[in-house]
Amino acid sequence: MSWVRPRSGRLAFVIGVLCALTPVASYGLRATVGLEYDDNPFETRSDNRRSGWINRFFLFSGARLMQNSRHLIQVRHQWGLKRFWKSEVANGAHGDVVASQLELGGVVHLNERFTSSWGTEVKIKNVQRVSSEESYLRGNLRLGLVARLDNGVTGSLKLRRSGDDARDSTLVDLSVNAWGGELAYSANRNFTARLVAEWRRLDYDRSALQPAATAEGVAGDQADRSREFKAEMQLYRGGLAHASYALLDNESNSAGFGYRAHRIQLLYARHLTMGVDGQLFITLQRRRYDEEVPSLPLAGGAEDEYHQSLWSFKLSRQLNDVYGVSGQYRRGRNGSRRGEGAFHKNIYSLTVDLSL
Amino acid sequence: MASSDKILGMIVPLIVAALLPIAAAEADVQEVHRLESQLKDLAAAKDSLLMQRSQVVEAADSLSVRIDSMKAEGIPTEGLHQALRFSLVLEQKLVDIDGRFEALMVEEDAHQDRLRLAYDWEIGALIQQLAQAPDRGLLQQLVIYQEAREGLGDGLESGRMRFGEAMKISADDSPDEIGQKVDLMEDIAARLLREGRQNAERLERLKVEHRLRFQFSLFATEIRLFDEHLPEGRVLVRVERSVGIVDRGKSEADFVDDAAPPSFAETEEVGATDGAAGNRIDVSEVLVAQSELSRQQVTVGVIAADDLALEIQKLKARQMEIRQLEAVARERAEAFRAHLRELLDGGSIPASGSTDE
Repeated sequence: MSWVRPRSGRLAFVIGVLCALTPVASYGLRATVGLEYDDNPFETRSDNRRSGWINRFFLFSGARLMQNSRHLIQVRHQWGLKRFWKSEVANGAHGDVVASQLELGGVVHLNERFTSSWGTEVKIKNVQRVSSEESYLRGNLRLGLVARLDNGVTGSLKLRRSGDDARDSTLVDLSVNAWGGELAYSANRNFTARLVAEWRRLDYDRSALQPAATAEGVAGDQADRSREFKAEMQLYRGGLAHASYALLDNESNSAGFGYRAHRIQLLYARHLTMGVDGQLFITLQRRRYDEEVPSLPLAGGAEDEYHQSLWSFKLSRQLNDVYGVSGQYRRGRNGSRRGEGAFHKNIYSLTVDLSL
Repeated sequence: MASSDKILGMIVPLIVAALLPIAAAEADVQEVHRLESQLKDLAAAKDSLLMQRSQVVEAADSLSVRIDSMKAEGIPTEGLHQALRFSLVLEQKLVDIDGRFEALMVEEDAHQDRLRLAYDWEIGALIQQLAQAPDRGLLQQLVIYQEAREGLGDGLESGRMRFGEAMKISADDSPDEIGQKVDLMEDIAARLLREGRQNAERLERLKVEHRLRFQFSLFATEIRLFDEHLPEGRVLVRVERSVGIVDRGKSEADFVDDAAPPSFAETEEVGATDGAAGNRIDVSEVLVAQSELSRQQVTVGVIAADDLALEIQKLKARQMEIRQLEAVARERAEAFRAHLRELLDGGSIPASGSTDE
């Protein structure tokens, strides 16, 4: 079996890892303990909102079960808790959100040109007494094949199957089948550019909504066909910069669910001074529903535009090998542009980071 | 539809499959042994060719002498012509041997490159394992691999410099020569110091990059876990809304402004009677939009720093090695200088004169 070519082969292997596995910076055990003040923790759309404090705890652990020049298997587990100090309703019990996610993934370097990947993921989210959050159980399976083309270019094909088992009355079960491809260019570790295309079929466990009751009755369950095209770029030169643009197009057999969305993500992180790092993250999405029906007078008619903006600015400092502190400000807007169809929130948080 | 059983059914076979190729971890060590064995074979083949070459050269030299003596006789003989023809054959043999030797050199270089890479990989993996859990056996293995790696020479890595460990002061060395050796050791120490500083700067830059990548990855992982990155989803549902109370004593036209406009579902009038007053409450089904968990697959940046961790570990190991080499070089320089001082002050000179032990 031929040996890996020194530089370009290793680069393809690394890119194969990036394409195949959800990358994370490091392994071991990490924890963040934080306190945040949210002026709209329950995502209320009206002015009558209750601000409050939230305790936040996040635990991350990861390890490589096996690694050599041909194989890599890694496991990661995340666990998080948000505990609301105020109840959503007056004189009610406090709410909390607990989420846990386990990921197992691997890469197999088949030969100088091809790398295969696989991954599986289970996520459980449990919500108590917070109406703006949903509980579910999610499973996910991914398969991929990466080919090293030439001059730092790699191409990959991916398959994904996932399912949501709803644990909330406001949610329905969902099954997703997705397939797609990616073209990446990476001259070195400091610059990567990607073009991604993905097609998805989403099958919901609810009846498709018909514009009018027909003599034949309902048309079956809702099934959406979604396409996503994304371009992204990542550069490191003194600071880390990442930018992406995605176009989503969703067609549905259920009235009022077809839409087209544009999404932009920007990230810039840099070491500032005296050991302090700064990080700016922005995500913006505009989603326009394109159902051709008469406008409805109520908020959120079929023809509607949803906007999401999330801004996050964070300062952090590593105190020693174990402890670090960070402060973060997040501002968000999410929901319909009609009337009071969106909620706004401002979050101020302070966290202690531990590397265990 | 998705169910818990289906979800578990996707995961269990993969967990089993993931445990199967554990034995492949030994493949790399076997690859190292295979390459070492191939290098030995190549070295043996080169030695054999060199021996053949020397035999051909010896034959050519003796033939050349014979040809010269025949030419000196001045009489062209059949023997001279045969000797000249044979010299061409020997020359062709030499060319063939040189060609094969060159090919072996190229193949040996390629094998050495592969072996250096294999050693670098194994050394990096051992360093990572030792960082997590110190182990004497692994440490010994690391030392063996590092020595073997050094024995291969520079290759892909640069800056690996010998520090003149074989340098000795002998009894025959004059003060000038000893002074030159002192200067040489100090030069080596200074170069190691410069390399150490460059290494330290590079290590610091890599640490900052690793930290930035890691911090963002952790931030993205955390907000993905809580779904805080998702846009608001929307679901349309039919709900019953009252459109007004019809007073039997009034006409419906008086309430036209209160009536909800028709939805794109058929309006169904469902009457409800307020028994006491005898009025009727009209309701109709209308569509409203409610918020729902978005089912978009949204990735929050794809930032990786795993490849940096190994490079940082290697640089740290290299930094330690440079510091040790620099300390040894300075110690030698000092020892040589002390010996020189003794010599110049007319002190006794040790019999062996070597100060390298």
